[in-house]
Amino acid sequence: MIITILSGKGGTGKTTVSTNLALSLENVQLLDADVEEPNSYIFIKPDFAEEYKSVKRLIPIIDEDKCTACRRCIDFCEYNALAIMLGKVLVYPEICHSCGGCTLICPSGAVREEGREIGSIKWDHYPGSIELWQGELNVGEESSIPVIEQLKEYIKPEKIAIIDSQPGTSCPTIEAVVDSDFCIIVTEPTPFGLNDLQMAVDVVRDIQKPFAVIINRSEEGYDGIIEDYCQKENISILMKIPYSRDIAKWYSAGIPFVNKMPEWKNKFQILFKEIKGVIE
Amino acid sequence: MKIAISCINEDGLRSRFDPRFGRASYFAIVKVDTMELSFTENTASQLSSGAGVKAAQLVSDQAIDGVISGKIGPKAAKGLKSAGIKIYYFNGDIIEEAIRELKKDSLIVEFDPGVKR
Repeated sequence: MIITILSGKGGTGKTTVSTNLALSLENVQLLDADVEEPNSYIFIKPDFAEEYKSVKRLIPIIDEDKCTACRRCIDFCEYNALAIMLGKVLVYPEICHSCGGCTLICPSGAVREEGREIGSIKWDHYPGSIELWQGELNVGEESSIPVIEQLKEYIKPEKIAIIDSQPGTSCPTIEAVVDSDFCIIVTEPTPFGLNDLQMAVDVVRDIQKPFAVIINRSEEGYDGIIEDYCQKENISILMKIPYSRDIAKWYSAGIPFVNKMPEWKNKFQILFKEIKGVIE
Repeated sequence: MKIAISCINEDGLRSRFDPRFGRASYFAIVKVDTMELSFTENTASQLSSGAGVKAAQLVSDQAIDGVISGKIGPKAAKGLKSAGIKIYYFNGDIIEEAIRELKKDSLIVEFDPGVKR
């Protein structure tokens, strides 16, 4: 089973929910797909060791002897990853989307493709109850999709896979969501939280995934903004995590709150049963 | 010497200088010796990806010798340098000043290809 944790807004508590949920269940594989800034490891403290799997993507290599400077590849490239200066084609690998169009369109066979590392997959070599897998995009790279795609290849069907996605509602989030059986949208009771929750709801509805909401930093008198919306839209709220200085303090020290408040493990287990009930 | 200057609008020598290169609306193309002036719309300014690269291509295709701008990103700079185009930095309001400073040789040169194009 695959559960993806997402949020429209950044900083609402995806990692808080992912790590604490993971720590409350057994037989879990946690996948950190927030590849621009993976941070689940701070709470899970894995041993990634030295070994990692390289994520490569194809980029064009120009054979200058064959190139006739016809500019067809430059005009074709939608991402402007190619330019021609003084008759010589320049390649900008970091903005190339690896579509392969330049290879196809070149009339003189001057373009070939070569793999280039853009990120990595790390995993806990000595896992405890949780197996942590982490995607990481190299600094300066623009597209995180290939890293997320490859990360998902390591999902073990016999485990409960929890995917911590990137914030927002653009391609990387969708890539993390698209294969999941259930989505949890984490939000906070603020106007920003509501606005971005609505965007996230639009996305998961569009790709037809069952989903529910968790309100983080929940506070009496404030939650109404989210509750009213969820009621109107017929969305269930699975959990409310209180606005608490203790939880924030532990978070900043890399301590998942279920380790300090073990009764919450039970709450996460109940939540998981509810999700299972929806899926099955 | 032919120079491209990033600018916000198209208003002759009074055109307002735009410190951004890839995202500038226009490039003023100036033949410094004759002060002949024309404008090229920067069709790259609204691109979601590769605006700097495309803008560098655009000005390079005008066979210029130098660019005056305020902020040139690393990708645009790589393109301009490969084309042997000199990069000058300017900090001011209108392009006329930029040309005046250039003539006085008082602009900071970020890149000098050493050989003429």
